[in-house]
Amino acid sequence: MIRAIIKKEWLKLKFYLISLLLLCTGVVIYFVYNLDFLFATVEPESMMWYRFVHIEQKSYQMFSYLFVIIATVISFAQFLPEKIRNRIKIIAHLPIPLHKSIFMHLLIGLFFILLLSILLSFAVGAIILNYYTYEIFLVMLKDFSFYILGSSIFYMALSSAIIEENKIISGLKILTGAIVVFVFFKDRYYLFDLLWVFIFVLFFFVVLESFYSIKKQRIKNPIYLTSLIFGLGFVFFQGNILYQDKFKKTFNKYYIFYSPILKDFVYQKNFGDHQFIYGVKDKREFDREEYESYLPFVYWRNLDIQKKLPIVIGDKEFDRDKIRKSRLSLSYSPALLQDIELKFYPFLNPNSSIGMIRFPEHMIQFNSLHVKAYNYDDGYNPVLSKEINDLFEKEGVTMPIVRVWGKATNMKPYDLGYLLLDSNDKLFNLKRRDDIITFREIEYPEGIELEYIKISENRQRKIAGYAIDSESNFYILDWDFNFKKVELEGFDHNRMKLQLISNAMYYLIRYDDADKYYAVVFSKDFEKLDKVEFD
Amino acid sequence: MEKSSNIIEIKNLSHSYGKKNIYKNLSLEIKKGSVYGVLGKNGVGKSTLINILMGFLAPSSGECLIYGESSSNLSSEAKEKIALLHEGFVTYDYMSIEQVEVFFGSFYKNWDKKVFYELIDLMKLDYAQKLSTLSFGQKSQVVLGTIFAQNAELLILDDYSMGLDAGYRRLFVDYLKDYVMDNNKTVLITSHVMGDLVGLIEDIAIVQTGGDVYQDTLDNFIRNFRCYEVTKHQEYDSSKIYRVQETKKKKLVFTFEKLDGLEELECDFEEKFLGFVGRY
Repeated sequence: MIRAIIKKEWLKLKFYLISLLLLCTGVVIYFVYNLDFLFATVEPESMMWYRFVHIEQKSYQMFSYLFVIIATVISFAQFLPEKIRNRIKIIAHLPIPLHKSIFMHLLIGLFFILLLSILLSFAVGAIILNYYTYEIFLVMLKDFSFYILGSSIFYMALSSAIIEENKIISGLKILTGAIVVFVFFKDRYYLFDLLWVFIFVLFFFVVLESFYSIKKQRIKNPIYLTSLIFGLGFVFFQGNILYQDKFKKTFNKYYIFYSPILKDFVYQKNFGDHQFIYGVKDKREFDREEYESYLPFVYWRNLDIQKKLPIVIGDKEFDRDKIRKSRLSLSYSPALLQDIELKFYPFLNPNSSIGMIRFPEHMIQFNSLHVKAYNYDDGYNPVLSKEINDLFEKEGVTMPIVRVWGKATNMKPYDLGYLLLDSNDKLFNLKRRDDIITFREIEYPEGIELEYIKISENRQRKIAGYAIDSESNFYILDWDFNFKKVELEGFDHNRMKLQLISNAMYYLIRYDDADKYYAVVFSKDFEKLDKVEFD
Repeated sequence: MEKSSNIIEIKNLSHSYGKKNIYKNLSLEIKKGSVYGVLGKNGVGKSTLINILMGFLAPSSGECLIYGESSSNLSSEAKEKIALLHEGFVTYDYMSIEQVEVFFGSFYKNWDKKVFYELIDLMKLDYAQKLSTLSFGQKSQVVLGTIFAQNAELLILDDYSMGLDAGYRRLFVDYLKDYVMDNNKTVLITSHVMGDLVGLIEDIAIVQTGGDVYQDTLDNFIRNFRCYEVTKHQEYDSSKIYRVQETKKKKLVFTFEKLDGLEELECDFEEKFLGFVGRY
């Protein structure tokens, strides 16, 4: 009986499967050709690794579409002719229980999806191993496993929609399938995504219910109905999250600055559609021209063009260079709390005799119990790995490294290296210059739990960045990574974005949760001068 | 259920498509061993009745039982006893004759391979031939082969005549007559081709547009439903008349009554059926 159904499905699907296999082969050939071209033309090759890890340019991502195509073709080929030609009634009348009949059909479809997926994974995996590191290969395997899961869920959602007798319910099932594709095929997968296995199992029963609808029945089991409500809720909730992430426009209601002329905060209130009002809180409103005149360090270019520089504020004179060189902006948003998928960083090596920092051949991997250094030509680099591990051992690092902070790019004037937090909450600075690696422990306030550190190498060489602890305390890091706490009343790093702006006279830190807007102004020594709050 | 010897029981069945009534309070019983014909013109709802009986359609009201089980929720055991011919000879076109036999044969305990190939051999076909390459008539015989080979107690044959020429219809009916006679099967058959069914079916239900159903034995219907020829201006008692069919020169009067003084015509079942349901 099982063999009979397998043979029937094989006879029906074999041409589609062969076609899909040819399609997969074609895509794999294109993939390897394209990847080889990318690696051959990029300089150095480690840039491709960097793109993979740091900007989530996963070269194999196009395969996610192929997985959707595989699911679609198999589902349509398996069930559409049965439905259109009424053969679904033959299946429904076979002398076996309905659930057994439909589950066997589904398992056969899923087996074919799995078969093609495994072949595809082997081929792509072998290619990835040839160009990327073993750790990246493991990420690829994880991603492909989720592609297979997503493809299987989509296959069942589509099949349930095809089989379903009630057109409205069928439409809802197609919609759910579309949301699954929309939500599921993404750049990165987390442990949380394993919850989709529950959706996968649930969809067996959703298809069964569609099959029951042929015989005008529905599943009335309360466990199924409850699971269905939770499952649909989960899918739509995930869809909404992704929609918000991808398509929700960020809207800043207030832009707050501190005017060195008024010695007060001025604001630009945004009503959307390019409609604004300007003013000083609880005092007065004014037009844009006046607003700009109160902010010479913001609109200094206008003053420069109008030959109005230098300007004198109080007893100090500010020329073009002074204003320009004092400018600095550091930003924060809760999204930055998210670690990158692999702790795999370019190991910069600025050369003091060359002006621009070159992107390095070497990249270092902090994930395991030992640091691993890689370069494209040799793969794993045991010499560099040993050198770094020895330094780690000497400084008493407790592996593994739990957090890595730093600017992993060569597009900067200096390199301050990376700040590494070890398993014992010790903070270290690792950097390399002129082939010399330096590694030292960084002292930071006792008893705090570091949540995020921003390093921003800049020509001013005063502020190296900032740090935030688990209590949302905010610290300025000087060029030597000394921590200086600054009071930011009401700041919550889990839901607020923040911007630190430097000008020739002040530091302004403004932060908001899109509901409340705060701004605090500090002297150049980070002495708090004033604050304001907007609702 | 077996005790009552009714294989099929339909109780107060009503069904409609929108405002169009298909059945109004239909009740009927089909006894074990009987050959029951559901007859009617195209589009009156013969296949609707089969679909309701097999649970593919939910009736507006009423109950259908097959082997005592609700028709919408038949057990595997009950389904094994029912060989169902779906309207339009639905089957797996992408399979060969042999593959179809192997596929269906694996599901039925009483599968009789010999019966299947007996029908196939009548057409002298290559077993490896795909169904998609067969003529509709040849394909229908393969499908009927799968029906008969099931050796089921109840055969439900929905519009076996659809798309078949006279030769294949005759082949089927002759085979069915012998099969039923030799095996004591219960048959429910729907058709709009009446001539083939005489000598095969015993009980009939004639479905009329609007939901009325006439039930009797075929013999009673043929015996009691009479056709008289009257001239254009000849008078008769119209209260006794069931239907009048007028041609250019004469009138045919159909009635369940005996009309004295009028000339009764010898009509076959098909003419009487058309007299009953109307030609158009």
